[in-house]
Amino acid sequence: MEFRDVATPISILEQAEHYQFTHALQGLLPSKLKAQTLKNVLDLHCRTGRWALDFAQTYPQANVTGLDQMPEVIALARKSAATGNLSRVQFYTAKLSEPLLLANSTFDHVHCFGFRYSLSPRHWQPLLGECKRVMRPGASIHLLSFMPGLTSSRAFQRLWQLTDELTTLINYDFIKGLKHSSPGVYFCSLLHEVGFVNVEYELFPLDMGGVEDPRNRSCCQLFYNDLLITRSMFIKFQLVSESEFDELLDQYQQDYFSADFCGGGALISAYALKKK
Amino acid sequence: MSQDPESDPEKQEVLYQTQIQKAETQMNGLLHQIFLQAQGGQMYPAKIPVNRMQRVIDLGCGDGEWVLELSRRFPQVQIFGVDYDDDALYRANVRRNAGNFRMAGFRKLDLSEELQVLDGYLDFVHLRRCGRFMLPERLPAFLQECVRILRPGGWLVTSEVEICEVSSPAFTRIYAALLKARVALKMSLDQSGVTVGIAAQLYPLLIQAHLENVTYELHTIDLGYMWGNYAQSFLLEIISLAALLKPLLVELGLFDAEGFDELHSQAEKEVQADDRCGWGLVVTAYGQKGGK
Repeated sequence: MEFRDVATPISILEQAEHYQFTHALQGLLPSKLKAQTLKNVLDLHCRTGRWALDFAQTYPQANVTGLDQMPEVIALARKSAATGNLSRVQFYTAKLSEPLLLANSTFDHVHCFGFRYSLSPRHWQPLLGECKRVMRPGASIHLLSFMPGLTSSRAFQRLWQLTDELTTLINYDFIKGLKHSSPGVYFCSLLHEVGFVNVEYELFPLDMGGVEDPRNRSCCQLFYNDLLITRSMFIKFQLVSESEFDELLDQYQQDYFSADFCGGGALISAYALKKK
Repeated sequence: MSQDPESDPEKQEVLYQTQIQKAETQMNGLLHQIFLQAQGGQMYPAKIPVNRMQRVIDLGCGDGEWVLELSRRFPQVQIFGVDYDDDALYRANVRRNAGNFRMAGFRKLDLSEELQVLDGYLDFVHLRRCGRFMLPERLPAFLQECVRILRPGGWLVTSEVEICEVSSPAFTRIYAALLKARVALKMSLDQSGVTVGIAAQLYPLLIQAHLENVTYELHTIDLGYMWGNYAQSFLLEIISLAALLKPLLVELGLFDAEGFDELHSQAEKEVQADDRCGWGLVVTAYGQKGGK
């Protein structure tokens, strides 16, 4: 399964997920930041550009640069920018594991939504160093990450355990040999290490189930898609047989559409400044 | 492992289960603060009309924090706390007598048996951290008992906590081993060992218990430096629980004895770090008995 086969549903799901995240955060920025003073904004790992486009639409003074390593999502982001006639938003393909081709002291704010697989753990520190370089003194950085915490689906819990094992095998474990670790809880210590100041974090609960809002399921569906995309790796590393994996995936999908599904996670939001 | 002919594995299992339950009872005061912080000071879901109620019961009340706090807010409501732990009940009674809580009372009750409470006697049954005194396999039958003692239209509210991530590698290793030990001791509802699982199962369990208007609320617990000492003490308590269970963790092949000691002191150091971050979730599932 290639990424492009599921790219279109992903952009729709990302929209739903983006809505959920901004709803949880009650905005596009940490509450203490004044958006009106931000002229140049950088969005790292922008995916299909939901946040960057929303930000540019909401704040007419802002120029937004969005970077992502996947040309497929950048193409989708550019299409959305063209449709919305938003020339103040530019999207580029860029490897986040390499130095950014951006000038020193350019940006007033950096936004980055980091997923478990968006960057190999050893690249986080150099990337944050690069962020500091391209930020002007006094500028702010906002790192976000989402992690599921629990679900009532036994199939998902088993798939999650397998994902932990896969993470370790492909060296995406945040602390060597340690399963079940995501970038989110290490944001604060990383920001400290790189020399940012006024480091703070906030936590927001995110419902993935329940009956109140069908949009809650979008996170579950994105996990489903991620699992589908990485299916071949689970098989290649012989973590599970093809038939067992497919059964688990089917069961998981049935579970999260059922009325008695409970699931939740947290959005971690870490915020810091570059010293003046 | 050398097998001692005298030892009875089943008895040993019960002993470990009791140790965990006892340790978690001792954490009750801390957990009360954690629940309150997670729920923004709220003690129960907003739509429950406690001011119009006559009788409320807290099953597994521990030191009585919840009962006495509720009694402070609603001095006219009769509030019972029951537990099987004599020490906890003693402390609860001392606190009750020290304050002015005429309508609050505590009683010893074995929650693993049929509850000695009349059918339909209560307006509100509160159940927090049921995994502390109940093996998960008994939960469905126990919830039936809770429904029995509720009046039609009365509310059953259950809450559980799940620790999710802490930015301490040593703590994370120890906690992962505790989760595996829970699976081995049949104290988990998540066989994958990724979570304890009770929190996530409350909502489906209440639906299966045929309650009406079943829903759940989700809150985050801050286990990082921004919340300060409560979080740190809570994490340290969990590390001490693991130390108590060291023989079991070694027996299960999760650590060798020296490896554990090293990890244990490393974890103690790491959870006291200035930039510690971490989080957990509280699930509060609740519903109403039908037939009003």
